[in-house]
Amino acid sequence: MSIPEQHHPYRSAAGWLAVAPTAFVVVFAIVPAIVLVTHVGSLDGIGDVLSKPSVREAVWFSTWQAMVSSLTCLALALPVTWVLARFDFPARRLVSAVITTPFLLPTVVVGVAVLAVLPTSLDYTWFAVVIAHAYFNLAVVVRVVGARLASTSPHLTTAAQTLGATRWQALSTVVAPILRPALVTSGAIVALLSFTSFGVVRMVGGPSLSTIETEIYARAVLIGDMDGAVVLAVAQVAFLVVTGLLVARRDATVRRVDRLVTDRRPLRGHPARRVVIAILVATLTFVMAPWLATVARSVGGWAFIGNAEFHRALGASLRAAVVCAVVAGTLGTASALAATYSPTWGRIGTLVASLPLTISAVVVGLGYLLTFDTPPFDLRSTWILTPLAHALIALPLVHVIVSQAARTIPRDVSAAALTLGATRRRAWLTIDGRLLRRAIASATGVSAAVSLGEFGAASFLSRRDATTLPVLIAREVGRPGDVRTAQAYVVATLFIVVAIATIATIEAAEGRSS
Amino acid sequence: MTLRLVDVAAAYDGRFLYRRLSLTVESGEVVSLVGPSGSGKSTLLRIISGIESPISGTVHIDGRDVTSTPIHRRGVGMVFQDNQLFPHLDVAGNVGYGLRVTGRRSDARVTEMLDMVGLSGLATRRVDTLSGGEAKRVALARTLVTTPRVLLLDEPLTGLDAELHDRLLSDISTMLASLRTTVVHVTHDMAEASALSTRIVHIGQLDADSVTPSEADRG
Repeated sequence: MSIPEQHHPYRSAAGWLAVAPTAFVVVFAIVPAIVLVTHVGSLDGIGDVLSKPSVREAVWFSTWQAMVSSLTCLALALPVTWVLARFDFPARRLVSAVITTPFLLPTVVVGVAVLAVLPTSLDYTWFAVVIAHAYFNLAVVVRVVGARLASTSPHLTTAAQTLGATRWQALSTVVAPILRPALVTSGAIVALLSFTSFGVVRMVGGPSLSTIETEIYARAVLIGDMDGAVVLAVAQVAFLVVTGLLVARRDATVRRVDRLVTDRRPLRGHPARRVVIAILVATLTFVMAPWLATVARSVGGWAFIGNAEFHRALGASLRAAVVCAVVAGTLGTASALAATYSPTWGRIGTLVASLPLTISAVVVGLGYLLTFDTPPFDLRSTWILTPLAHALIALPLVHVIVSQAARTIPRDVSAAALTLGATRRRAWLTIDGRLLRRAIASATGVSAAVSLGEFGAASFLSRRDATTLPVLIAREVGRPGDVRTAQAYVVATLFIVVAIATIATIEAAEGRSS
Repeated sequence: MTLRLVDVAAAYDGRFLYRRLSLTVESGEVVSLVGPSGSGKSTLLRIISGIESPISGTVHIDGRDVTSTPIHRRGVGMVFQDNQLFPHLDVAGNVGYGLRVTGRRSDARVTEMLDMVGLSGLATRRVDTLSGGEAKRVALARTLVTTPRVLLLDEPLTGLDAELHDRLLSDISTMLASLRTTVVHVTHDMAEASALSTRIVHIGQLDADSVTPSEADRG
């Protein structure tokens, strides 16, 4: 049996695989989007909404704090990025894991942890918002710029110097241009995430500072101005789609892989070792101090873990996580396989994968509130909306993780199994399925983690009797009384412990396999 | 330009490679430095170019002590074993780099140099799309265009297939003969050394302190 080279052996299955994820995206993303847009279309006073002082302030604050957060994050992350890409020392992997952890924490936890470590005079200031965003996104810069730096030979600067360049010229004409796409991409991602930040601003910004996201929430949930909320949501999505497309184009240039491989220099005996150690100490202090402050603030609240309210929230969170993991894991894997096996679905998949940068969790929550409130889809009174919103948010992540793994499997491996007499189903199960097992498992795990920490959509959709843990933190910290605050910090501490344990397990597994 | 190394000591991984290595390369001479792997041949090139400093001893070019002169002011060009081409610049960008950073920008010189190494049609090609032989020619052109006082070639033909190896060897040989530059060439291939150089030196013989040849070999 001969297989044309441009065709994947499983290409004919791609259409079937794409049915369920497509249906899910249509019902739970496109229909709510259409509902939002038609809602705006039927309004008279779009201009009135956008010219309200509180809205203009929110737009202005969202924009400038996103820029400042991005630059602050780059400034704080670049020194340690250089250290991790260029030097080898015993705890390198551990340091890298510690720096990644804040990005895995729920935004609400990041918010309360930063509040815990900052002096009270800085509570609810723009400075606190910027620091919290830089803290949360540190790993974005370290990973994106670090990958580029690590794939760039450290000898290029010496090569430039042998050609007559000064040290500064070598840096500005060789290193900087090579890193520029990665710097721009990571800076843009941090700016976008800070622009659409909800949990951090709700916790750290207090009542006086609001971004577009918190303004949408305030209008929809607190004031009851649903029309205003919808106008803002649609305006934000339109803005982000354009920006997201620009970032995706940039990203393509960053992902171009160089074959150069870095040799990291041992730190021991290196002339720069004092500088390197100072950078490591400063960065680790910056990352870990909020954890310790959170633990300290939790003292006096630990009886809460025996409380029925905590048990209910834990149960609701776990139930949502399981449903989200099953739905996103299954549908994301199916869409990833369809995208791998057929070029057409591959292009559609790329679009789907860029969704999280353009549609925020708050907008998803708002869209669901408006869409699923009439029969036959009156789901507002059920608990299922929260995990479904989470599944929509996690789906692109599963898609990316599984399709990256699937692309590494040579198509001829599957073809070989077929030529040896295996049916397509059997060939897939015994070859591809086995090779993808780890990626699917880790993608499903990521979906569960997304659900556990998600706050934006849950703020809209959580019912009173099915409050998730992040919503519980926000509620407890907002109530008067030291015990309430300590209880919020107990839950935050649990999240931090789980995040550290998760990343330690992943690192240990990777360490064993390498 | 005469190159002179006096009592140079260097170590690697806590062991001395040599303690008192001395070598003089006369102006226009092409010296091939041979010796087993790990004997410090490449380290010596890095010391001559200023990328590394010797533990002790001095480096002189044309009678001037350049031991503490920064890399970019030494006028020593080096063709790296793995080329180290700048991935963000095209072929012409790589070749013209040295002229640009020293304020001597000249498109004509770049074109002339690309002609000389036989790459005139590839000026705008991305360097990561080049074959091994083409990349090596770009690395060579990039260094030669700066007219270095001393040219260092670190195993320039390693990793090329036999046919390419022979063709490039003959091209480099012709180029070196026409340039009359002072050259130190490192290789472990005796045939390559005899084809390129006017003198072949075993690195172990240059160390006044070398106790036994076997110890120098191991270093």
